[in-house]
Amino acid sequence: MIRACLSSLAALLLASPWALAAEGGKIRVLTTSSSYAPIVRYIGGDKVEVEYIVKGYQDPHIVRPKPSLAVDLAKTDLLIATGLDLEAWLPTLQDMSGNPAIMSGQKGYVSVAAGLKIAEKPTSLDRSEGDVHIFGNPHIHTSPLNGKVIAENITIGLKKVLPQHAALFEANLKKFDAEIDRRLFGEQLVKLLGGKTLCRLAEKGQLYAFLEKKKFKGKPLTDFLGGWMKKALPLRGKKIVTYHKNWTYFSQLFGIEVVGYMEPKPGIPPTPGHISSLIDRMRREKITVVLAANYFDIGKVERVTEMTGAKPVVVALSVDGQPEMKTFFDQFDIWLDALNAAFASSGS
Amino acid sequence: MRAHGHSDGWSLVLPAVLAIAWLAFPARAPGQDGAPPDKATGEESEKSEAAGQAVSVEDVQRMRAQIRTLERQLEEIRERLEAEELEKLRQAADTTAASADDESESLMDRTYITASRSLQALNPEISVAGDFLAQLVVDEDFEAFYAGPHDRSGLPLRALDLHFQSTLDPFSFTKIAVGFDPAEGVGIEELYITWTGIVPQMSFTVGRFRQLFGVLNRWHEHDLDQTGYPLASQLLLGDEGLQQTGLSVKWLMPSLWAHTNELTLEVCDGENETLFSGEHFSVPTAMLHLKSYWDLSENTYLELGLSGMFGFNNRRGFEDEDREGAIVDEPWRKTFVGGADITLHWQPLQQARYRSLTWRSEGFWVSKEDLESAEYDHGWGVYSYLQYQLDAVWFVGLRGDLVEPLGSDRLHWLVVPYATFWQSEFVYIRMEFQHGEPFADCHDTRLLLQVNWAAGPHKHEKY
Repeated sequence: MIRACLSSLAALLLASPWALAAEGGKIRVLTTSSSYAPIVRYIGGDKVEVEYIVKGYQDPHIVRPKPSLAVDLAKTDLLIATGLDLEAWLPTLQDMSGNPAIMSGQKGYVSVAAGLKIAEKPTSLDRSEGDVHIFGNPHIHTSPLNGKVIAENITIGLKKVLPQHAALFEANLKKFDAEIDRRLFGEQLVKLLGGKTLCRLAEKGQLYAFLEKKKFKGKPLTDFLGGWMKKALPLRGKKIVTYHKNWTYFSQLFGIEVVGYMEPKPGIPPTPGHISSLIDRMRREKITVVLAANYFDIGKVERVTEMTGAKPVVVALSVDGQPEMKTFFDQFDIWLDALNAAFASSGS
Repeated sequence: MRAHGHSDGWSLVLPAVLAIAWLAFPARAPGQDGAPPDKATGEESEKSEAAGQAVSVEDVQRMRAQIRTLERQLEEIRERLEAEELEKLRQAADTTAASADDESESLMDRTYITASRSLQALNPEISVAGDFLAQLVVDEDFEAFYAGPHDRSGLPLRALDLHFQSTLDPFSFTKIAVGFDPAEGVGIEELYITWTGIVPQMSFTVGRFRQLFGVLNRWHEHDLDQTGYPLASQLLLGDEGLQQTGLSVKWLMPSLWAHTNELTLEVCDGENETLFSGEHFSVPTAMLHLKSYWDLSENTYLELGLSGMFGFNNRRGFEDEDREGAIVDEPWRKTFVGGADITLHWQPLQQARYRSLTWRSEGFWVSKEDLESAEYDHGWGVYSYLQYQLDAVWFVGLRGDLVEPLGSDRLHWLVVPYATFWQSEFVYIRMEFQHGEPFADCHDTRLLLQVNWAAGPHKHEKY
């Protein structure tokens, strides 16, 4: 009887739909953020099947570790996570899944933030500052420069799980990097100065100043600028308010100044007193745009913008968070277009 | 080394351009480009001829060759200058980009510090939770502010909980919860080690833990949606619920009839005094729990659970205090416990911070063989509650309890409306009203105020 039970148990285990994960030569990749998924598709090509946990219109801080998600993790060969403390719900899911391949430290687990220069690392940890992220700002996908590091980490993970396709992944990574360069700086400038140098200048916040100072063929280098950096030229030095510290990397790269937040402290809902002082400040400093991810309380954003005459810019924070945001690259076009339109219509 | 790259470069180009222009102008023979000579060029031709045929055809060809050579040289110079300019730009860009990296450190200033004495980072995650529960109790006639000798109005500090959590090695982690209760002293609520990832889709736990009987029994009191466990749980499973020492095997089964199925087998000592032998246990209890889960939509899920437990409630194998030298060896008496639970949860993903609705119900059935008569006593109980999230911080709910405890044919009931203010993930304040007949011959009404807080990484988690 016992032998029969054990045999049945073994048969059930083997018959489980996730017992053979890598069918047809493809591996199953699960990403936490929807913005990492298109990068995995870009690098992995037809060698991967990709799904993600957090929808683009969902607050990545608030995810229920539901049993169905644990099953998704159980079926996964490669788990792509941010790796900071944004996804505090993920270890519970990893434990629930019972999948040894995707545990922290295993080759099936990738932390895409590895090697990134993380912004807003707290110098002292104190909950009076709200729900602070102890390793710094985890919304890393909001900068195309970070996209390169994310892609590199994803490539390393794919190479470890599918070493026989390492050359393909490397080649796709090069293409991805080149596409980031071209979309960020424009083809002409990349030809002149090279993507690597431009990225370093941009990372240090010195790109615009350098381009303005230098000339080529008698013309200022800004004339050769294209891509998102050119699109962001009208936004340089512009002051905005955001709901949460979602856009730190984005604003730093494109020279937009975030002067206030709807939240009094990260993760703390807006209080009447804070909103009142924010409105005063917006009026005083003539701040005309409020940027918010579309999972926040839009009613509050609209009330503030109505009272100040500012324009609300409500956009998805991550891929698939709104219909036209399909790729990692789409994010930047949509955010920049929306901000440019808001500033243009506000007349500032 | 060019100190003034631009001016030097173009100073070379300028004479070259002039030279080409000078050579090109006299060399141009009218009509040679195929166009008919106009009047002016005709005159020039006559002048040339008048100059005594000074420029021969060979001269023209030679000069043209010179022009081509000079044009080539000019192009080369231009390309070289552009390349030089570009190279300088690149160097300047590299220098600018690297400028922030120039924070050089004198090697002699470096101090060498051992990390071996600073291994605090390996300490477990430690969290502290405090629970304050003030209550105003009135009796049936609203005359006395108490509902029994130990259930009075007051402002007690209910508990201080210490939580430790740590990964032990690549294969296992531990969780420890120690409770300090002003009334009952120190107690180990949980202390266990769990192995995950040893066998696919399975986890193994050994130690003392809250058993996975139903839903709420697994939760710590401060994680509950109300101030305390439902009446059915308290009266049938004991004040603290099923919290025993043993081992647990959890299996994430194939989906089969649901989106997720999970089967848990727990074998524990029968430490529970309400159901089993209490501290005088000798035979382990066995529990089986099946959880089936469906994602009804992106925003809604349904969870059904069935629990069954079996054990003995007689005492065996310890010294009899009444008879010196005798060993207690009571006849075998069995206890069966059954349970069913249902949870329906709605939380729109895009508004997860602001809206949710939870309906949760559980029913318990207990059958316990009497030690003296060997006849079975039966008891049953249910609770059901509905909770709605109004905004980012306010939750309101209503719970109803109905229980017929073991050895009683009288129904006990309680109605519990409540409101919770989530100040943050680490602090909440709850107001709760209770009315009913929770215990035998005790009809009471009470108003409770709970303040709960947690310091450290252990947040109040809702799942």
